[in-house]
Amino acid sequence: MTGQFCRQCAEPVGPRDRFCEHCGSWVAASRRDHVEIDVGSAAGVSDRGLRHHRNEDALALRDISVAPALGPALGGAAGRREMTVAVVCDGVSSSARPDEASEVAAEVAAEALVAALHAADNPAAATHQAIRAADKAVAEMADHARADGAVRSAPACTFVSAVVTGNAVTVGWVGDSRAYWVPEAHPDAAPAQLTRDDSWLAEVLAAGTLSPAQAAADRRAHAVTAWLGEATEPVDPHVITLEPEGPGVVVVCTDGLWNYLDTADQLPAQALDRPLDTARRLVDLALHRGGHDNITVAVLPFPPAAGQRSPGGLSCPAA
Amino acid sequence: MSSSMTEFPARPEARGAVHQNLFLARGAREVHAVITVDTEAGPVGSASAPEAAEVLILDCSGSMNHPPEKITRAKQAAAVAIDELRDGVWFAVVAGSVGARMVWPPEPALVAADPHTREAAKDALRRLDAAGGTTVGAWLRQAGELLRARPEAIRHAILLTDGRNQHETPEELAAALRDCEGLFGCDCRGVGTDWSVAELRMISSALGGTVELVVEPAELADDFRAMTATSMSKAVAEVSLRLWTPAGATVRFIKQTAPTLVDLTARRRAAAGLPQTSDYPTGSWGTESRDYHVCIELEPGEVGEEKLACRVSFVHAGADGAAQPLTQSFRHTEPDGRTNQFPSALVRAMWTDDLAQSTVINEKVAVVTGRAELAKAVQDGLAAHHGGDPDLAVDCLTRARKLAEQVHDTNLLARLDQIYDPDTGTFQLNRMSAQQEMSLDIESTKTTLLGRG
Repeated sequence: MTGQFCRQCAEPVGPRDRFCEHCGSWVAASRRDHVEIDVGSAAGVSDRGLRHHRNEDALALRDISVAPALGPALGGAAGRREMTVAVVCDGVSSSARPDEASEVAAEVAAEALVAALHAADNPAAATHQAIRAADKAVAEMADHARADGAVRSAPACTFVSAVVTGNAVTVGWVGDSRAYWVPEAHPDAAPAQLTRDDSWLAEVLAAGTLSPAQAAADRRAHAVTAWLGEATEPVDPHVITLEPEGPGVVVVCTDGLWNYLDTADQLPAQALDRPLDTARRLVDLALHRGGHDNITVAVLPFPPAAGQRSPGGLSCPAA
Repeated sequence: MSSSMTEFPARPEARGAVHQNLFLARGAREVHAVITVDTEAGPVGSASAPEAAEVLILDCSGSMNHPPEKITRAKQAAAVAIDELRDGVWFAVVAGSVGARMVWPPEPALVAADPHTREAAKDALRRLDAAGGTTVGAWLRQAGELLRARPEAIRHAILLTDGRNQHETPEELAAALRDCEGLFGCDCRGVGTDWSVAELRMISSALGGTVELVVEPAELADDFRAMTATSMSKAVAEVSLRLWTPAGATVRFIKQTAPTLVDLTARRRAAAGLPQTSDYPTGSWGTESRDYHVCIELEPGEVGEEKLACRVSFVHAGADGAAQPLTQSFRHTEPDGRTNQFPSALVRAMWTDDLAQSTVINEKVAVVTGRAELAKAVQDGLAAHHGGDPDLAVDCLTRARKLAEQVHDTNLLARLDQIYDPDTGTFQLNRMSAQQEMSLDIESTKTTLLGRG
């Protein structure tokens, strides 16, 4: 498994201490170096990758069951409604304390989503609320930083969330973290990217001023053009809702994964029943291709499977 | 545990600490660390008493008769050592001249000490005469042959001589040492001033022992008693320092820095079945304290990256000959002051652009480095004196005196001051006696343990 191999040379790591048995590299110390969360109906993995010395990505997952009396807006079927919620954030590396920003944003947004969904808000409205709450929380970290007298840029992070209900998938984002829809394999349905990056590269390509090759080679290609934590102007999130015709998987991820995907076709849909295995496989794919950035992947099957809820989120740092 | 006959040391438990500056400047390659280790071999029941074997090697060359007191005192000292052997210890007495001959028992073998064999051995000693030359390599080989018969025992020899190894080539002695390394430990004693400190130091450090100048033959008996007692207090034979290094790393050196300076670097043996791991024999251990200085060269990491430079632990030869780790634990102090314990000593490196972090020299590393420079300055000074370069000799010893003050080595400073003229501020090398010179030479590699804080 991912956490038991060295991040420099891919050799197995000895059990005795936190250094690689081959090259001596420091292997695992932070609880965030390798995090796995499995809530039964969805799962996710966040990994430091091979080149960065800390994980500035954060992941929050929730598995909720909304009582029908409180959730008339969420579809017509009788009985409790199973929903899964994922939030993935990527700290902006040029900002102050990006690791804290992403963790705060992911947790605040997940809690806000759960509260709004229980209060019978529709998923799109809940997503807007959650993004505003996370943006405010990150912006307040900057205020704390200024109170400390620290002269640094404010904390900032990207944001992507998915709310999967029995009949719809709602995705919200700010920045260049992405969500994909991967229909269960049949000949006519191709995987699709649901989000459109807030990035210099995406804007240049949309404007058509540079060729894709020229744009990709520019050092600004990876610069994000929107993020949470900007105190001076309110965040302008994107929120979309999709009503799939058949079963499939929503994959929510940071650029640590999608940088290694040439097309969305490489995303596997075969893991409706084992989302954790799928998330691990995708993280391993990014690690084997170089792992240049932190990698975070959440996998949410649609429709959410009922009765698989684990007694609470499992978060296990690597051995 | 009331009688000394039933008090034996248990397998020692080692506790140590790692002292280093974790931080290296961007691009720096060399990591230094001091590892202190203390072993406690508390008394246990006789059931686990380690088997012990002792060979006394007495120089019986013709020079031991000049004056005759030398051979007389040597025989008395050997008799005291024999009395010190507890029942059941395997022993023999060997007389050295050109070649080695058995004093006791008559045939080349070890016998178990008991009241009868101790008396018989002392009788044989009284009849011993001194005549002929000096072939220390042959004597050591004879001791090795005898001790080889007791592979389970803690094996030790005491070598007493008064002369240089005149009747063997240096190559013959070196070959004998290679064969004896790891086979037994050997403490060396020189009587008079006609022997070579360098020669006995080579033997004692190769065989994990001590070297001393015995000025008064009358002192020999107490010295032999102490050496025998120390040898029998050892709890475990053939302890090796085990060193793991990352791929691409180079061991610049590994030295024992206390209680005596011993460069272990050339003793490296690959550890069977363990990649990137080497063992450095350190002799037998009882209750004791030792300090080591390791210097590892690494491929520089990136700023912010942390690597393990080496992992140090101690192993001993188990019953089947395979290395077994001692029970051990090492304290590590993080830059923020927190401490951690690990089952091996971890020497680490973290690269930084912060000069305030990377330029700090760990205090204990500074002391052992200064102490090694001090030993070298003394030996270079004495070598220059013999090489007919009095100016260089005085330069070296002047530097040695300053270093001795810096590292608070009062013993060595006292030896240096015996030949130092404070009025002229220089050294009176022409008035240095042979005994003063040899004492200074011996003292130069004796060190004090670092504080354990």
